[in-house]
Amino acid sequence: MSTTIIEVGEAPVELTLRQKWSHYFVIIYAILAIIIGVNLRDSAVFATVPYSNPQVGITAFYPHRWMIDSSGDYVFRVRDMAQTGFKTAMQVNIIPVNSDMTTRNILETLILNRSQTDSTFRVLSQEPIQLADNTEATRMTSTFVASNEDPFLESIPTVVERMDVIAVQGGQAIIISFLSDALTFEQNYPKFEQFLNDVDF
Amino acid sequence: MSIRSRTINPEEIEQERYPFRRVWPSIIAEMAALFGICAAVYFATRLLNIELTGVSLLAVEFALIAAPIVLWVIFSLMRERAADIPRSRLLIVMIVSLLAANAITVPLSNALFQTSAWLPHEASIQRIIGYAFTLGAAQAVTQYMVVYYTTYPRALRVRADTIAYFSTASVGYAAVLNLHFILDSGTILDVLALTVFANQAISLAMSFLLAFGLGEVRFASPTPFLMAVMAALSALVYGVITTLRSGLVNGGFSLAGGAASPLFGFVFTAVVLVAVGIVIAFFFRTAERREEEAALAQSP
Amino acid sequence: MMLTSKARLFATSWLMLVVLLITSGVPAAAQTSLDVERIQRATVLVMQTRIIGSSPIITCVGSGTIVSRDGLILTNAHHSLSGANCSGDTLIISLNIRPGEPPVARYQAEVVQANPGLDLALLRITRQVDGRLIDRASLALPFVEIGDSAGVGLDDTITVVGYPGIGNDPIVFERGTISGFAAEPSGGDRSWIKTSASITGTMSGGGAYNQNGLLIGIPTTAPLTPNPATGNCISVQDSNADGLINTNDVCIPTGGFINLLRPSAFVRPLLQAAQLDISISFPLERVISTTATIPTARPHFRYLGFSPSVNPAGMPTTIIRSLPTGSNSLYLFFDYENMTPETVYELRVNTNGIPNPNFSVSPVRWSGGSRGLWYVGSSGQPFPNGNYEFTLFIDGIAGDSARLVIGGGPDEGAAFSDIVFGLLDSAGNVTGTGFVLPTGNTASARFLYRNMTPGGSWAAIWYYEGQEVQRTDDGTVWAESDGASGTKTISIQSVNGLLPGSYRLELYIEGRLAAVSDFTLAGGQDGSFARIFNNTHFTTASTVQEALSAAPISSFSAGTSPIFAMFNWQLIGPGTLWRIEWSVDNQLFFSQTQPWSGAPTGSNFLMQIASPAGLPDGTYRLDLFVGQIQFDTAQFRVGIGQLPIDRFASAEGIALRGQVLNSVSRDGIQGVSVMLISEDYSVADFTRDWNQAQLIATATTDRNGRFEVNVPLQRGALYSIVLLAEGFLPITADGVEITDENHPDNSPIDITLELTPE
Repeated sequence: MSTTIIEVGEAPVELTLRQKWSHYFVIIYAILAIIIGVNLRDSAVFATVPYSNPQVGITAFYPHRWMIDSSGDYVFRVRDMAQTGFKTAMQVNIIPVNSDMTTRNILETLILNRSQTDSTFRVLSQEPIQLADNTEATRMTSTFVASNEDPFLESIPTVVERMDVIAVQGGQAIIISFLSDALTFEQNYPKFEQFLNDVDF
Repeated sequence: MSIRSRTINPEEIEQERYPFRRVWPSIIAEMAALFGICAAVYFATRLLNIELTGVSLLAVEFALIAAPIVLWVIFSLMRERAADIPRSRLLIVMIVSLLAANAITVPLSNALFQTSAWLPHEASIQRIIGYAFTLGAAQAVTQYMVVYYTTYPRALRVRADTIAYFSTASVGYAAVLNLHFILDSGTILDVLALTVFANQAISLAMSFLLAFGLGEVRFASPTPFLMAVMAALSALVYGVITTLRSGLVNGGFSLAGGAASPLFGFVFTAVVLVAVGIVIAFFFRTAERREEEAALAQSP
Repeated sequence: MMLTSKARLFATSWLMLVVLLITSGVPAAAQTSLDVERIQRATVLVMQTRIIGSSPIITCVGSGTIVSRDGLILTNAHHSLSGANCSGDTLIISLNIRPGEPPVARYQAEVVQANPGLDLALLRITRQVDGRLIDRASLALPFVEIGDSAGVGLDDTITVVGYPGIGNDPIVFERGTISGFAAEPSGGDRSWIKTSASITGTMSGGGAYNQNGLLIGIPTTAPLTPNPATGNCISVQDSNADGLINTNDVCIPTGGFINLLRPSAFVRPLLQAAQLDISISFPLERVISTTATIPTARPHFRYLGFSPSVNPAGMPTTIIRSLPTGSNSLYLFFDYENMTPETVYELRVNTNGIPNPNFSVSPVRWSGGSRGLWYVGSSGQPFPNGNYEFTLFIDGIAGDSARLVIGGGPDEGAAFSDIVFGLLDSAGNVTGTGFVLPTGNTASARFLYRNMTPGGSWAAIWYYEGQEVQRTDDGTVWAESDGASGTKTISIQSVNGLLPGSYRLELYIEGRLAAVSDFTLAGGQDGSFARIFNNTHFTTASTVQEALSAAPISSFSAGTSPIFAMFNWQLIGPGTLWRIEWSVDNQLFFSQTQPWSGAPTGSNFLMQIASPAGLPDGTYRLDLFVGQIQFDTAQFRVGIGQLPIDRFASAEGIALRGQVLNSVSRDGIQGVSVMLISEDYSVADFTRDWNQAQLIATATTDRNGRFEVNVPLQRGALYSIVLLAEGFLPITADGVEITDENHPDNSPIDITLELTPE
């Protein structure tokens, strides 16, 4: 005895053109929303503020909402005050140098100074690089331990990774530094890269 | 002599029995119950200082997260079974929305948009726009896609079906948000209670708009942009509610201290949900009337 | 009417009683504005250590007080400077982190200013305890302000704060009163403040505060040579690594109980110099011809006598045998020799055989030179009648004693008093400055006498540098023509000219010392006055040689350093005490008395005044003294000629601190930036520019979410504030104001804030 199975299905519903396009437009909206959302994020995260100091001949663009300070022993420093823990910072120093001095000499001086003042200072790497405007420079990566100076608080020290880009130009050494919590260094680095590309001296 | 009594009542008119589960009463019951549960937990924790720890705390927290789904099971899924023509895909929509939200949308949108890194510090307008084009759009599109690909067009037989399925998707999506909330932030019970309600309310409000849009697309012949516009509107609702609720909740500064006010956010989301619900219900009713009138006009 | 009056009287009495009860019930702390917490936090334990083997060994311990937000610590010199009793080389600073707990080592410090004689030192925090250098600008420590010690009076209530142990005990607050003042030549009648507060030895170097919470004194005692047998020290570490802690190990001096406070007036010059970071070097190599010798012989005192008063030159007006009832000042005069700033001396007074701490002086460092005339006394404090015995101790060993009876009527016996010196003018009057005379062939003295008996013997003996050079003939008697009372003038002469240097005149009646006074001969004659220093001028140069030939400058550009000061001198005897004073904007920041060690006459005595960051703007003045007489002065300007205003100089205000919680988890949030915006800007201004110059202070929360704004807030000022952390909604506020309504007292404001995560 043979059995015959007869499948009874609902008749297919034919979608109208409007219904089809309605769905396509939602997909288009989804794609657009993602593009706009990412764009909004990037424009907020990578927004910059111009900085200009004609006295030392520097123009730069630093991240929006980073706090600028020019009262220290640097040309200027910007810090991300929203960062929890160590405040990610970028700073520009200018030191007069002898015409015979090379970036290597300056690096050695920096290493010597920092080693003497900070027992936690460690050099990770040194390498020659070329800046966006083809200026020859040297990049040094180092680490140190930073802690809140208030002795009455229970602050846990942070390992800070520091990158210094040193270039010699016009009888002065320009040291552009990036300091970040070592754990978030890679995450924050694109901002420094952008800063480095935009800086003009 | 015999006297015949006469009733003054008109004779009963026999009406056709509505074969589907009525969706709006279920939603109202679910949300009212959730509102009551969350408020009870909040006040019990805050005012009566009931402090739970260890396993009991964990149990209550997961019970709170599960509450919207349990209420949905009681007021929607189980009652659906009692209907003459049940909506057979409710459970599928729930499961797919849970999976889609947890596996795709929530992790992907967090990784892609990183809203916590930049949106909290923007001005209100930027925050509304920012949330609308990031997390809001992600949620709206996810709910839409889940319902569309699991129900459209066959399972949508009447307009109310769209509300039933989208509200189900919203419960699934909100459940994932609640789960992430408790896992990520180690929240305390009173705040968790209010957040569970807020997540569910925002998700539901968005689903109303999406349901109206898909209902129109299915049963009317609107402009093809309508669904996209409704998705965008629901994303905007997400942005507006999230921004304003945060503003209300966030504590201020005073020399006496400044505590957050989660109750304001709780009440605000409840009010917005009711308002959006009333508006969408009105639009649904209007659309249904329009259809009925059109049907009457076509009948000989 | 009678009843009404009685009722009124009754009501008034009740009212007065109620008022009395209410006022007597107010706790003492509420009646004062002592900021206990700030004082606690500013009080530090100073530990001097050195490495023995591979372990740090504590060599000395004392208390100290932070007096500036960038980490200047006021303390005693004896436990800060390395010396025989304290041989360490590193200073560890421990802070009182939590009330009621022992201090915790946090920093290393270096001595930046010190006066071993006054036993004062200012340390600067330079490193973390692990040796990492600290940027001074990044420090914002709680500190106390220096008060006016001249404003305190007898029976004023004070609070003495310090650490009673060697690091194991929490800070203590000892309340007491001011029981008197001790006089010495180094600081006049208020060289020391005496107190009834019970102060242990290791509290030396801490702080004594008036009721306004200002530091008015430094409890001071100098521990004697550590000797475990006497119990004046404690061994706590196995310094010789023999496996035992015993008398062979380093013994930390603990000192005895303290009854003296060094008045804060002595601190100001040191503090000013430390804050301005100015160093003064002199004499520079070129002009010095001899070097001062450090005495190696055993120090000793030679008792001279008592005097009821002291003249402006620090000399006794007369020498007495007894003091009448009701007297309230008495000075014990004595000669000293071979003293060093490390020498510890002490005065113990017994009244009728019972120790009298009120008039005693606990062991303290020597603040005079190596030899000369000294006094220790007390004024403004009534002496009860009795037989007094005064015993001087040097380094814990009893020296000379002297007795004096106080009581009865005034001494009606013969007396000499009030010796002054000068040159005789044509009318026979003694003229000049009184105690510093120009060199020449003659010097005269004029003194008062009373109750003299004609025919009674008297004598005048003149000394030059301790050697007798002239005396009246033996058997000299009082001439009848001089009368019983009056003024007499006597002279010392030398045909070869009197040598420049230090002289003394002693007057005797019937073989008893009746009056004594020192005077100085120095400089050329300018009428009856001496011309010792002249042509004081300033210049700047990169080397000493260049400075000597550079043109004088009176106005320097901002940030100039170093600046050289030069002056000429004439006829100064070796060992003559002279004093240099430097002040800026009329605030003294350097004062040093030293014996002259150069050639008698010369030019271009060279001093250098320098600061690593360049001398701060201001008007600087150099004054040169011999004795109390100023002999030359000159000034120069740097920059705008006025010191910059330090907006962080005041410790007055209300501290703001608190905790920032995650509103969702109620856990503290680490790393939140708390930014306090100055009155001139609003949150909108700040969030437009994000410029640090608009901020008064920033703070970052610790792992518990706690923060402390390190600048005190002022009442009535309108502040703005921003709290910022990634992942949280910011909190901002404008118009934050401390008023009497929202914060009636000056206690710290401790707030809890909640940030909402998104």
